[in-house]
Amino acid sequence: MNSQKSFTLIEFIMVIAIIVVIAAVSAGLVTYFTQNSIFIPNKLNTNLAASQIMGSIVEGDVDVKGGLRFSKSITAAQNYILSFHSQNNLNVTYSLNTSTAKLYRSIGGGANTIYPYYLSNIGVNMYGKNGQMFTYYDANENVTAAAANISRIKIGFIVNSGSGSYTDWQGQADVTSSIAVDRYE
Amino acid sequence: MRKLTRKLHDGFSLIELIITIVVLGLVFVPLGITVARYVDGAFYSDDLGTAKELARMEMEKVNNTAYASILTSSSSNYEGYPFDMTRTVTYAQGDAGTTESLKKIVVDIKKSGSSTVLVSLVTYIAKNVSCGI
Repeated sequence: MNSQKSFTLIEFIMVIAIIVVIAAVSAGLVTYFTQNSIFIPNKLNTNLAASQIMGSIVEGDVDVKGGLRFSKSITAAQNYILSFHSQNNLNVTYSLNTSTAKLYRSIGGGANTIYPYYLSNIGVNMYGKNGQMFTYYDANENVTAAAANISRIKIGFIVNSGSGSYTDWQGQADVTSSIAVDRYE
Repeated sequence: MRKLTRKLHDGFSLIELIITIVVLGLVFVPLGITVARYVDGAFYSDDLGTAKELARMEMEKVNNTAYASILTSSSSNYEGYPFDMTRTVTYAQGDAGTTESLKKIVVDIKKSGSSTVLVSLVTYIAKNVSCGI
């Protein structure tokens, strides 16, 4: 056995070529697994946030009984602000601040707090759909601004984690729904 | 001693390398498929959530429409989303001529270009019936 025998150039090139192929494949796999292990939770979190926000505005929660579905009256109607009188006699205001990109809720004249609380996380942002969050329609399905004439409210928004793009491993939820307002007294 | 030296310098045989690559494949291929299914699942859950809200939106539109005006209609790219909406209205009881009648309203939401119904909601609205039909 000659222990001084060295590699030939062709052997070296083959080894390097194989290492490059293995490195490229494993780098691709690692990126794919890492990207999706970050993307999937972000995506599901934004979907959950959107579903909870839509659900609590329309159907209410423990603090706002009945939500918009059983509201007694609409007291303020703007593109990003909606106030109504809830079933448990509280004036509830939802407002989307376009500069902080967070949704705030005030109950019974109380302080504006970020709603839901986990939206306060840096990087989780909320935007209106097509420049507004709330669109108001009268009984004839025409857009109206007069609170007394509102018969149906369309709610559309986007929740993003970071940029919201899959290529940045971020999630985005984009939902629009509506609620016919019956004014239960 | 000679045997040991041989072993240290021989390296892997081709068959050993192939077995290693096959074993790695057996581990990573199912793992890749599983992750890909999770990714598809995340996008599917998003589609389902959007479709559900759009179907509810159409139902609230129906709720805000006079009985006589609740008619079959459809819309592609509903509200600017890549979804198609179909509203099918039939008479469950009576017809347009009778005093009392009951309309069945079905709202289907499909992804644009797909024939799979993602969400289907059904409701009934009655006219001039105070206590059942």
